[in-house]
Amino acid sequence: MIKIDKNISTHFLYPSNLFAAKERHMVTTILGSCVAICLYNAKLKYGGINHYMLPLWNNNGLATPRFGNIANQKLLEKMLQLGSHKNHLAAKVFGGANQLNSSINIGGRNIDIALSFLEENKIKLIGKSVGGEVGRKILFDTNTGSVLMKYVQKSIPQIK
Amino acid sequence: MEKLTDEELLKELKKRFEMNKRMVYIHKELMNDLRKANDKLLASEKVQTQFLSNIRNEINNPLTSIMGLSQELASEKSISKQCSRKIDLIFSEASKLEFQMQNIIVAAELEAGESPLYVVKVDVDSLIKSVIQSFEYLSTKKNIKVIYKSEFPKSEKTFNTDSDKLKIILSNLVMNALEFSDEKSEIFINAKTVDANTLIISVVDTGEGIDKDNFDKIFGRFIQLDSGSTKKHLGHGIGLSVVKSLIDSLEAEINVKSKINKGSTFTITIPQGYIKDQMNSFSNDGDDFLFFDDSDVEVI
Repeated sequence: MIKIDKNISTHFLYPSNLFAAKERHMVTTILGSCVAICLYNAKLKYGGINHYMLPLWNNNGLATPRFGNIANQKLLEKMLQLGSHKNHLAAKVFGGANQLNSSINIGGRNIDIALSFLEENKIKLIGKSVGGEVGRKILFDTNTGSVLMKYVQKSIPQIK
Repeated sequence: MEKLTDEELLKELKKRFEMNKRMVYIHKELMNDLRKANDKLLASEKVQTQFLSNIRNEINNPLTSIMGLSQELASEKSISKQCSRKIDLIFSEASKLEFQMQNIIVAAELEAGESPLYVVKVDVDSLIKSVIQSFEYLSTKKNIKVIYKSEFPKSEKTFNTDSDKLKIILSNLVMNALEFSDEKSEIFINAKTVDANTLIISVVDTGEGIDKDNFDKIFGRFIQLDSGSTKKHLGHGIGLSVVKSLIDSLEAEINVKSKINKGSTFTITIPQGYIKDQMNSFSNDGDDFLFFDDSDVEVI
């Protein structure tokens, strides 16, 4: 049984958005084929998270964090802006399910983008739960860096 | 195949290894070039996004003052007719500027990932009417009739969606229709719900239309098909790119039908949104949880 203090601020992270704050927040998000990277700085005790739907921005339209390459870069920038050093960051990666069982496998490509981003930026990956065929609901504590996760069935089809 | 002596075989192998080595080298060089080009792209992207988010207050505050003050002046009785016409003009120009600024700010928020959905029960009928009203000045000036036809069943007065986002989408579509229509023409706005779960709104103009080859291009950022010094129309081509991103965040669809010199039809199809009670839906009794802690996760 996990108890969550009611006094802690909460934030629901929508797809194509990102969140990072120095104050403690419990951030909830629901992932299907989308991927979320949680970045955490254990020294300064704060974290940030993104939630992207597609792997790469195709240079058409706005460069929003709907796309992995944009979302990851922007999350890292935000963490650095808040005073982090790249070397002090650790990451957890979630999502990327192949829910539609499609051959395009967007989930898989989303995961690849996340992992290669972390590798390129030499950010330590300390936990991941990716792939599979069911969605995930995660709860990220930006103060401790801990993530609670549960699998969710297709009953919430609107949220990718 | 001819038989090779050991020596020839060694020579051939050596040659192939050399070739392989060279290919790897070339590949590496190309990768480096690509990486450099990518870094440059990212840097320019960053400058632009930061610029957009920084100018927000610098522009919004003076603009609000101009609009507020000119409105206040217009209501004063002691002002001459000529003067009040000029004040009207100040107000209408300022509201055009405000519209463009709103688009720029929304684009900046979308790009910064700070544009969450606020799904509420929206009275779509009055929302559309308020959008039409906000462009009344422009439509009267160009003598364009905006004809709105709604087919909402009486039982379904509201639709769950993000009202701010829907308003910005519609404002842009109506603004474009007005901008690209000839004087003394008509614009039609039709709205209906299908299966109670889908909202369909179309904005139809009889303006200059878009070439089929350009359908994909119009949603691009900073793209106006007719650009350069001969550019006839207002704006900077950000409107439809904002519309597209907002449509994406509503998980909606936008469809364009158009013929040159006949006009364009933009149709948006929006699924009913979910009003979420955020954290309360996070059950923590009885369900399986995986608890991640730094001590029990694999460290790679």
